[in-house]
Amino acid sequence: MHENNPHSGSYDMTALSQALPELAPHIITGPKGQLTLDFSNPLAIKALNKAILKKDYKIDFWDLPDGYLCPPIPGRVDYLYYLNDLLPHSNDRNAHVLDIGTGSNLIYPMLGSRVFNWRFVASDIDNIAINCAKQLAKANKGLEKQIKVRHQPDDSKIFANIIGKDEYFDITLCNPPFHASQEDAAAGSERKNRNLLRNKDKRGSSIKTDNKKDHLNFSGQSSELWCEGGELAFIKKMINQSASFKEQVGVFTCLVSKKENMVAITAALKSRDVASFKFVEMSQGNKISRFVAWTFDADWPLK
Amino acid sequence: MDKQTMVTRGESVPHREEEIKVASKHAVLGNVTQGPWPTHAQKAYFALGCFWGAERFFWQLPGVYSTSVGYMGGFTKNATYEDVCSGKTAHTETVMVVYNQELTDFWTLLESFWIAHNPTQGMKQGNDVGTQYRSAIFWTDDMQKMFAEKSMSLYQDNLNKAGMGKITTEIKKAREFYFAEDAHQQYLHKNPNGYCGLSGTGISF
Repeated sequence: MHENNPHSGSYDMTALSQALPELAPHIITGPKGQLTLDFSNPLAIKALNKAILKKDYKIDFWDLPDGYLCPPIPGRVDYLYYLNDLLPHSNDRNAHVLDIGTGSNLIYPMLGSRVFNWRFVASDIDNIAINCAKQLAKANKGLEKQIKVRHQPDDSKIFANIIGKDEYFDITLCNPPFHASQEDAAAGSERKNRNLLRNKDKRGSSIKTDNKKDHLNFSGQSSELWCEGGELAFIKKMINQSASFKEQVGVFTCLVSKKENMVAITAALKSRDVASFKFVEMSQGNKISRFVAWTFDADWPLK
Repeated sequence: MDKQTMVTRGESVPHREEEIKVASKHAVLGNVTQGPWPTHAQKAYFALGCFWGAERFFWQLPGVYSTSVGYMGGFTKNATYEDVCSGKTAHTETVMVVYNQELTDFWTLLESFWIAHNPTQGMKQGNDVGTQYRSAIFWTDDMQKMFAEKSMSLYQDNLNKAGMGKITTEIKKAREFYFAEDAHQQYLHKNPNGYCGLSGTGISF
């Protein structure tokens, strides 16, 4: 975890259930006598998220329609702290940030505006997700001013249609769809569920909420989970399209879930003559994740 | 009989075979009233007292594509206005709002709904007394349900601060919407001096 990430210890279930009483019925006693949750129950995960958002981020209302991805907060916060390290701190204005594929959960913009006071544009290709995200921003006092939600009508485009003619973003972020097909996504979800059953205490697992399919927890909307060619094709597309917006974006970033994709991503970045790039590694417990960052601005090298 | 008591299914007016036919174009907005709907259209159902004023309130909001008045929440299929006014259908006078989700959203409609009427009055609204005037939101999907419930709790907080009572609005899954007779559709446009009892609590959302 990033040194400033407040979620490094274990969850304080007592304080969390005081903040959100609906969490209390999900709390169980773990093998070592500690208070924990059944992390394979999507309703428990959703209640945990609500409680963390309320207690630590003053986000009073966060909820999801059934079947949409329920993001683990500590890992999401981690990415934001590392993004903050990449921003030029001489800036006296609040950073302007673009979240590509925000989903119905709007999690990065909500956290980023509360923790760093960033201003956000959040995009998605899924109409229902956009509809939900817009209303979440409105339902939380103060967030609507800081978060603009925009629909991407063309799923082959990433920045076009979203970045306005005279707009500038300090940084962009993205949690891309990992899988190459729906079957892949289903297999991944099944694997995750088996691991969870083996290790119920593991934190921050990305369980999808769907109380109808308790066993597989395979829901998540198709655009959240997979795209043609998987994450590599998606990130390459992002790198290619980023070149057209190099004057309007300081730093581009994207999560990379598969380590083996780093070589091909490096090659793609070099072929586009980026000024500098880097991979930033993040670890949560025994899980290692990373994101790639690149810029076309030679005066602002990524170190 | 007491019009403020809900009738049971057994006591309700029997179903009617014949569906009520209404004009295919909205008298004010000029758009279709029964579909086919454009791509970005979404439906929402609100009950907030006498539907004449309630419908006008909604057709004037930005992003609203079409509105219709009808009956929902009770037992009697294809109920007539007379049936509903007898207090024996358990329906409440309801406005179907079709909006363009690129131009507005359900949350914005909810904010408007709460301030437009007094949702604390139980089985009446202003001078209009009876179960047919009770306040209700009939949701069409989980997302609407979730936002409707949240908006109610936020508005209840505001009412509490002002020392007002408890919200009695019913939040239920939408069932069949039975169109009211054509004379009631866009009534206050057709009858500009017609009755409108719609009045809010004065408490902002």
